[in-house]
Amino acid sequence: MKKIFNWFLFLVLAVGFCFFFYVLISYDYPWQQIYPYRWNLVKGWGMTVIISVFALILSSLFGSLLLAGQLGQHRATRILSRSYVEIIRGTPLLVQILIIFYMMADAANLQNKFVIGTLILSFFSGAYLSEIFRGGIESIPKSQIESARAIGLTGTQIYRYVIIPQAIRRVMPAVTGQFANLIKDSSLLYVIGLREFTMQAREVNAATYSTFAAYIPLAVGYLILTLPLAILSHRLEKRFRYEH
Amino acid sequence: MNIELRQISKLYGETQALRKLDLIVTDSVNVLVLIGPSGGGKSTLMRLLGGLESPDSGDLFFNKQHLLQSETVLLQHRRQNGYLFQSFNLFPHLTALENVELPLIKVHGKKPAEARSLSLTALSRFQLDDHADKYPAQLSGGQQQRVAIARAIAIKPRLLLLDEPTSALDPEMTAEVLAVIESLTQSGQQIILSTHEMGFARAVADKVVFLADGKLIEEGPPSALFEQAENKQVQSFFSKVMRY
Repeated sequence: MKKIFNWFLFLVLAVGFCFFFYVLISYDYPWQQIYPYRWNLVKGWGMTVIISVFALILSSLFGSLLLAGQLGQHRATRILSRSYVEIIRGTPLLVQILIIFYMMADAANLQNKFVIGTLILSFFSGAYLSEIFRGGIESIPKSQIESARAIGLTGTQIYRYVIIPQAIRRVMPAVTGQFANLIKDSSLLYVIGLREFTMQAREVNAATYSTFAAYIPLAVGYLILTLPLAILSHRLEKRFRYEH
Repeated sequence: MNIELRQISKLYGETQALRKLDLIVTDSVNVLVLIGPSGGGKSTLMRLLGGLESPDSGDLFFNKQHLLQSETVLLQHRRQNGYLFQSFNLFPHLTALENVELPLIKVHGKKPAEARSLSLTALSRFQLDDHADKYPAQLSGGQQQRVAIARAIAIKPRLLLLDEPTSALDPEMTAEVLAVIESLTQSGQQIILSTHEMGFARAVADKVVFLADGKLIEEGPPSALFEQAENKQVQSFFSKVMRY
């Protein structure tokens, strides 16, 4: 019975995939209309890469700060960091982009969209990274800390030589995954008019009315970035499993 | 060794782990062995003697010096002594050699080259030369414990505290670790050992202390304690553990 069901499932999926690709392939794409805009797409893609890299670096710093706040001694900073993380994780990125953009653009008189976009993504991703980091640090068994105390390491040394080196290995797969999320999430920045990949594709579409021909390269462009990261993340996960 | 404990009490939540414990160990004792039922206070006493924890009340004296219960003093105390737990002593991200080197370099300020040669000497003393570059996960439980002993010995500790070092091992590995401990006692290393290995306790101890319910029930040289225990609780413990 189970075997029959499995075969049936396989058949449905296979037919589904074939149909999907047939539609994709048999569609008459007006590539010639898109062609003049190819460099716009490439530029947008480059912008997405750059903004994601900057946001990753900034959000790592920001995530570390939030982590320090949560693990720290002071009650006030603990509550503040915790609240921040929960607010960011509990609201849609799009809403955050709209609020922060108008806040910064108006109140702080910050006009550079690249800077604003990077900051927004970093604020967002930092909250997630701090949770990933926290998970990594809390996954180090208490026995390790005991052992480190027993050999006479100070509190700071315990973090530096025992906890952090192990935590970094453990969080690398998740951080890689978060970087892939960051790249995909950056597509929402088109709403503030940042000329990144998605924005460029939308403009091409608006100029040529060839929706598929504009958006399929968009999907492929993101996959080129996220697939290697997914593979890397899996590899790191496996390596960690063998090590212990 | 010269140790004096006066009215030591320690509470864990609701559990009274030690109750007004008094103990005097004189210079003639080189190997002190703690025995008694699980939960009787052996581990707690070891942790206090090792400076890993502070008593709720009472005083500890080492070589007539009062051990102040401040973090700075306790850290200093831990740095002079070696401490071994039941298991998970080693840091999984470091090789056996790196595990031994870490305290030498970071705690005792040795130059890397000197630390390396001291570590290799310590490892080869316990026939671990071939395992120097292996990670803890690649070693058997007995080998892990021997590396941990090598790490504790490499710093030339005043006192070596071994808290049930073989309780997590199978009989064969237990034998290999006990052989190492025996060789240390023969070389004159001062050792405090808590164990369930009665035969071994009897063979190596200069003084045996029987702990139960957080109290010192009986103490004396092993021959006296094992053959002519006066206390009913001690007698019944021996008759149970020695039956088979």
